[in-house]
Amino acid sequence: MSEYELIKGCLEGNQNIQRMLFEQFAGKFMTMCLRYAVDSMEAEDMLQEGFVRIFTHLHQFKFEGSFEGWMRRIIVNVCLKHLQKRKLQFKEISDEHANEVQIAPYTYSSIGEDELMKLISRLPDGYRTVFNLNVIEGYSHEEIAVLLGIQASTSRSQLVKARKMLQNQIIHLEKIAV
Amino acid sequence: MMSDNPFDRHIKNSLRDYKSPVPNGMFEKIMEESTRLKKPLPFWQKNNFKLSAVLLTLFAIYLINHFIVGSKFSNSSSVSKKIANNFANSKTDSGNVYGKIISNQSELSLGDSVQFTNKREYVSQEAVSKASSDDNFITNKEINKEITIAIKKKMPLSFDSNDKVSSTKNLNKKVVTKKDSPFFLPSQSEKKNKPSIVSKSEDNATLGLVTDSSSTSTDIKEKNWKSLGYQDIIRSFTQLENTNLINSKPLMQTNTTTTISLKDIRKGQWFVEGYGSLDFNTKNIQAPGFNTDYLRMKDSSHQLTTGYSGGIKIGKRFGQYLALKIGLQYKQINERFEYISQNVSKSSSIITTRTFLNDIGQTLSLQDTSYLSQLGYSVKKVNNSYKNIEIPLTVGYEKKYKKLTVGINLGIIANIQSYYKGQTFDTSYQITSLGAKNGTGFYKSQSNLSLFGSAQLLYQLPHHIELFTEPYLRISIGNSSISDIGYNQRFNGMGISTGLRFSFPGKSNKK
Repeated sequence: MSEYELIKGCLEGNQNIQRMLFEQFAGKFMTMCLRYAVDSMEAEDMLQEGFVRIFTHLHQFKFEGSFEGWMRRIIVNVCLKHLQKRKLQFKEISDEHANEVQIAPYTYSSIGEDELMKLISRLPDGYRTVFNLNVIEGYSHEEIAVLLGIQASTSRSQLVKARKMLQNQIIHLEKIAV
Repeated sequence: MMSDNPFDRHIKNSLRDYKSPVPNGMFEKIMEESTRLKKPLPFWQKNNFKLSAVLLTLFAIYLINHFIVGSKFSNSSSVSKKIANNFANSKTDSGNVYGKIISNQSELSLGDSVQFTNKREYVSQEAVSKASSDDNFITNKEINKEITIAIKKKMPLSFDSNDKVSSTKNLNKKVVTKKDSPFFLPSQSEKKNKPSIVSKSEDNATLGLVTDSSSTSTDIKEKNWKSLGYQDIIRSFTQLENTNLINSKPLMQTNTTTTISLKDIRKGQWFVEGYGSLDFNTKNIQAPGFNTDYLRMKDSSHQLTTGYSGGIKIGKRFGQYLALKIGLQYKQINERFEYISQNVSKSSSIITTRTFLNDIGQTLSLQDTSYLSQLGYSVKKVNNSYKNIEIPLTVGYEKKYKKLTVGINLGIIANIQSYYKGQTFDTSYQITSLGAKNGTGFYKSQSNLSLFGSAQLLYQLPHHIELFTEPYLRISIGNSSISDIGYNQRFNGMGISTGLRFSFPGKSNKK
């Protein structure tokens, strides 16, 4: 079934096609939500709210650009809305060894997705959010600044620190494995 | 933009399309929520109850203002216009100034639009010519001019004892006729049993439908003008029309003063009501597919008891029968919550003190402490209360029969804030609070609208006061419970209000 038929069927209220859409993207979007949420409960709420928005605002999709990208933006917005409810704070966490980290590709290439998800979930809220938005979703720092209501420079610094913290965690994980 | 860092690229490639397991039943929940959201909700169900209440209030105020301005002098019924026209027509027979003044007065009194144009004036040329010989006489044209000025300036007009027609603001021009003038003084033989709208008065304005003041027989009972309501005035003029005063000859004017103010004409249109009521409430629960065991336990453990409400309303009459009322009221729904908790364990400690003598004769005391644990059930009894602040807005139809007024009212009641106090149990059968005023518990902090219908019976008391009783029924058109708890609960109710209505008499016109 083409993307056009999928959207058309959903707009007509065909529940089978709506289910197809859900099953096609729910797993990916659940991963997204888990990366932003504190726990799986919150991620489920985000996913549910996100899909409700997708189904109720589907008529607004103008077939300009990727349909998946349009849905992802909706999910991201829902996730950010949940974060704002929790009053997201961008703390400056001192990391004395931040600049010392040099990580080789082979160190992280063997880490599976589940492990990566766990490591990301351990990052502080501010670090994690900026890291997700920039590295995985592809938002620029200027866009992140608008989305989160912060300075672009704050976004940059949060990203650098998030990356370093994540790399440190990977190194630590490798040490334990050895 | 994303960096070219290989670490970042690796993370993105690993996680962007990674699929996590989705909990079962998620799709059904999404469909249910989507369906609910797609329904166009009435504006009062969109969590903007305060805004709705404010809008309703503003609308009511607009209506009231609109009608006040629009009908200040034109809210009389067609009957009044008819009377006025009849008075105007009557001049052709009598051709005297007195009749004409009465005619003018009737037009004023009935609040008809100002139509004192010269074309509608009547005074016979003969009368004018006779009157012109009197230094104190001013023609009808001038009378009308004066009255028109008075109306435009909203000044009260008076008919004083010296046969003057004047405004109480002492307009310069006055109409004066001699007491023995044919224009004002009919013969004694003509006055008997002839009704007149002129009556005796002391200081205050008094207008009644009486025979001549010197007459001993009174066809229509004298009334105090001030005690008349708006409907009374209309009825009085209807009676006046029926007595064919219009075509009757002018009566003897004795030492009589009649004062009518335009304020008086409008008196009785505004009123305020204070009331209290005992309420009998019912609840309506709809829970398709919900835990029936829970609902059964909930139903058996919660019993609604007598509630009460009270408030104040301000109203305005429109036309002969309609009245619009808006107010503020407090309503409390009471509920008895009795719940038996099973398997409740209770621990208690038992201390036993023993005293004994030892070998050397000393008295020693020894305490043994033991703990007793009991398993049983506990009965929880709590009085729950649901407190609501509301704005009632009703339209009424009222009809007066002598001292009794019967009416029906229909309208809406907008809840502007609700508070809950008490306990209930949740779906895991644990005792929990009903919820705070922020609506985080089981019920909304602003409920919704209710439809209201009542019958009203009023009994006229002195001093513009009426005692009333009002059986009513109200039906909620939205849920009081929040949507998350899985079932929908509404409160309906009936009761009998009792209270007092005070009709504002308007400003009296003292000379």
